[in-house]
Amino acid sequence: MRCIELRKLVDAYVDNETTEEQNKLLTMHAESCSECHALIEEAFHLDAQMRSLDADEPRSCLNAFGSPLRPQAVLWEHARRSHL
Amino acid sequence: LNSTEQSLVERFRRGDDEAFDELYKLLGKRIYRFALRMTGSKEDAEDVAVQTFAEAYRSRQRFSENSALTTWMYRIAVHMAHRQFRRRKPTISLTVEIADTTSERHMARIELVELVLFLPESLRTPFLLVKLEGLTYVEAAEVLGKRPGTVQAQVHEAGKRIRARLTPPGPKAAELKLAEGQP
Repeated sequence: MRCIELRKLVDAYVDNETTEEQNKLLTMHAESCSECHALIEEAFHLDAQMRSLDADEPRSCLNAFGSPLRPQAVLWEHARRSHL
Repeated sequence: LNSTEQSLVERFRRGDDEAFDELYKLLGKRIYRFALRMTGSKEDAEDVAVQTFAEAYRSRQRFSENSALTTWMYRIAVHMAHRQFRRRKPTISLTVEIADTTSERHMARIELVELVLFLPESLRTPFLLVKLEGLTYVEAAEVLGKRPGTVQAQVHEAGKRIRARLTPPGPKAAELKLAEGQP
């Protein structure tokens, strides 16, 4: 595998979307290419950062209607917001 | 669909209130999180989440049992987020991010949120579905009505653009060179 091929596949590799054969070729290449090795590490780092972007609970829009949430409450909230 | 999901879908389609609540418990936070990173503002994200669940309830009879419930809900959420953009361009509401700290980790998080928001919609949507929501390329393609190969290319392009700004110039320069077709 050449650098240009690895670079096209790096995100698919991190997303577990590459084939066994591609994985083998990719890791073999990365072992001997420090730039590609660094790129794979950056891709994994970005992946980890993205997955840690967890949102807060919604402030008020639906939680305010309590639990269990009834569809009528959501339809009401939707209508109210549409008229703001 | 497993038997629990099957039962949820059947009850939801009949208009069962409890099934609607279960659906919200199952996907409410994920839909809101996706909407927040798509729009960049809590208010817009709340609007999108409300619109998504309202539309899901209204169109529950049209839900096809051939598609997964999660995929169907994300498809509605994407549609609603895009509709929201037509009304208002995404903005970075720093109140979302600057809560109580300016630590290095928190600043890196803000930078990443901004970079994602600066992506064009066509890249941001598949990137978030895969990287934030953990959908496979096939699932994201189903949500977006595209081929998995297109999703793969878009996720790669988005990742490349973000890495080019997040990382030191060494690998970035090499990657840009390759993208321009240089040896």
